[in-house]
Amino acid sequence: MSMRVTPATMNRNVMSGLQANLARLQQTQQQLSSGRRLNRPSDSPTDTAVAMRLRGEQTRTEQLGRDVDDGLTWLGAADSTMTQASSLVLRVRQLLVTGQNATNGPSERAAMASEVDELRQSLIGLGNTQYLGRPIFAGTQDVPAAFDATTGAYLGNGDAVQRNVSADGAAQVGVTLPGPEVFSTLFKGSGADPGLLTRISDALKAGDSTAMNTALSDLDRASETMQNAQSLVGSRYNRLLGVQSRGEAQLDAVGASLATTENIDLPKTIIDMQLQQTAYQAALGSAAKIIQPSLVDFLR
Amino acid sequence: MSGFSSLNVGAQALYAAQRALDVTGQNVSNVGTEGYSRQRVQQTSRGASVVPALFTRSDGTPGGVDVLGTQRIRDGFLESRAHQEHATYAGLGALSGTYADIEATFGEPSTTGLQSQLSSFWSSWSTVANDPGNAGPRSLLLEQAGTLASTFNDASRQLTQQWDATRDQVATTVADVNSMATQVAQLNDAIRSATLSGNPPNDLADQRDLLVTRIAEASGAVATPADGGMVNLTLAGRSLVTGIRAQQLQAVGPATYPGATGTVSIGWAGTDQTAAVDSGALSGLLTAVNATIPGSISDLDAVAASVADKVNTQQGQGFDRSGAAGGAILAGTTAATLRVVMTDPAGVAASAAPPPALDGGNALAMGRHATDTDGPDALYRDMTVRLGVAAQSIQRQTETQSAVMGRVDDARDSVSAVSIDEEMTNLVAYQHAYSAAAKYVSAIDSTLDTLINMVR
Repeated sequence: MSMRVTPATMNRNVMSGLQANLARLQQTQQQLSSGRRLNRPSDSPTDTAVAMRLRGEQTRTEQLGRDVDDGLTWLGAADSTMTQASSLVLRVRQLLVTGQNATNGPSERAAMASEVDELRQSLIGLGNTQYLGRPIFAGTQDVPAAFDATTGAYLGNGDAVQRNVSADGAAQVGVTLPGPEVFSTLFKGSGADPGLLTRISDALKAGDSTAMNTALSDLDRASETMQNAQSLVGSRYNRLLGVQSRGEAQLDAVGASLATTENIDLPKTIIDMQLQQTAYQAALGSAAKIIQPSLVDFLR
Repeated sequence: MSGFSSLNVGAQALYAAQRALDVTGQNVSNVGTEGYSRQRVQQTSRGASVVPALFTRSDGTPGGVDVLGTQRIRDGFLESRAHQEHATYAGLGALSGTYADIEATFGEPSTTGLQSQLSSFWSSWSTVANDPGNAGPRSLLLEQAGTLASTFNDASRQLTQQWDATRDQVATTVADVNSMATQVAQLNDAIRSATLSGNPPNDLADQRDLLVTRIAEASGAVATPADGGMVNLTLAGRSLVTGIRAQQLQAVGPATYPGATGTVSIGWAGTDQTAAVDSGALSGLLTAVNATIPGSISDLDAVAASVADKVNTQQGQGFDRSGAAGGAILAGTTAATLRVVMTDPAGVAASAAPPPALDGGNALAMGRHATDTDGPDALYRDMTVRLGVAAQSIQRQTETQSAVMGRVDDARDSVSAVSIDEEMTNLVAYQHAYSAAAKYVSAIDSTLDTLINMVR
């Protein structure tokens, strides 16, 4: 049986066709005005999952950038402090070598000893350098100073302050060095040892050449330790710089993937819009042609 | 057979054509009336008597035309198919609206949704780790925790409100079905009376069938024809309307969101029996109230519980500023009850080692929970994807069902809807029939005239 077509059928088909066209137009319009292809999870569940993961990664990578910046400042502070400390240690070495020279009398050596004492205070001061209110050579210890100003005893602990170097928090880098790893036994040795600088000062005052010889080799070792520490800090600084630039590249990449996942392809959407408009107009035109006439128009 | 009986034939023909024109007029007038079925005049030719008699004999002269009545043109099979498809569509429509609302509640993916709040929360732990001795980042962290908790609370409240609104809709729809069922019973009564007294009940039947369609859409009730032009309605085999008697339904179950327990169902009023509603808007609403919305709420609760658990457990592994093991930051195991219980920023356990050490180790470890495979972020992403897939599937089913419904409606209308072209053709045909009948009468008239004037 052939289908009997009635105005009701035609009305419904025309209306549902127009509605479908309008719905598509509205969706495209919504995409164009928001600039987003994904407006709700059901637009594409898989893309939604990807977009949410990417957004999380974006936040973490931004935080990584802040962590790395902070770490760089810590390492920078340690580096410049150690540069100053090295020059002071060099001055102590000069004084010690001069003191070993037999031409110097007791009064010259006493003057040298007092300069060494001054240098010791300056070095302890450098050892107590703070960043954000925390001594950078005290490890993770919550103390106001890394070294006791008079006895030179180390007050910190042997741990290092850690900073994130991966967005997922899996890898960390120490951005501080515990005091003894930088200043070894300059201020205070183990047990009754009063510390290398005090021993140098005492040896200069006493004119004890044996003690001065021992101290000189100890001082060279201490200087070497400090240089090693500085090169360690330098290499970590470089590592963080690398993480920083990788993080920025990563952020760009995440932003780009997020854009391709979530955002519309503008030229494509505009062309879609044009096509849909044309389709809508065609539907309207044909509807006007089909709905209008009936036999009534042709009966006199 | 007298000459005057020919005049009678003419009168019958005029009457029949007149009736046919009337019905055509009725059809044209109701071309836009919802639920109207086109009508046709049923007419039959009146022949001579075929019953043999002893002393009389028919000479076979025809007796004209008889109008038997007007008939509603309708296909019961197509009607009931349309009911079924409309009911399925209404159920899917209700469900798809529910999903759209839930999706709007979560508003993912966005820079303001729960996902980004979670990311910011984990991120603020890193800030604490960078400067564990400072109270500033700690206060900021507690603020962020508060924002996160209130985002959970808001989402949960919106879902609960949606549940309450949908539950209201169930009650309203049930009341609607009850009132329509009563009207169907009343119309059945009127139709039966009209049928018994021989009056055409066509327009009453149209009204009733429109109500039947609405009841089917709302509840998935099945219509079966009964004696006297009446219609019975059954819901999963049990009678909703039998002839002139209508049963009432009631919504059973909690009126506001009850938490995990208690389901809403439809029962027969005055009994404790459940009415099985398998399709129609009510079935969609019941699915929303009993499964979809509670499912989303419990998914969200699981995410909230996971946040509280991860945060409080990790807190306990670190040390706060006073050196004690970290206390709970969050309390509550559901999205509705999640709240920040820590007020003192010093209570944040940033350090992994006890004082005098103060590192950010525990705060760093906390930040790593952002990428836990069983963590709240993963749970939340998972629930969003499941929600998206379900919503998409319902949307597609609704679209498909809409097309199916269109086809069924087309088939139904192909039988019962008014076609203007057809009515116009009929109009012309009946007009000609009328003219011809009039011509016939005038021909008989002149014949009789001839006869009468013959004897002058």
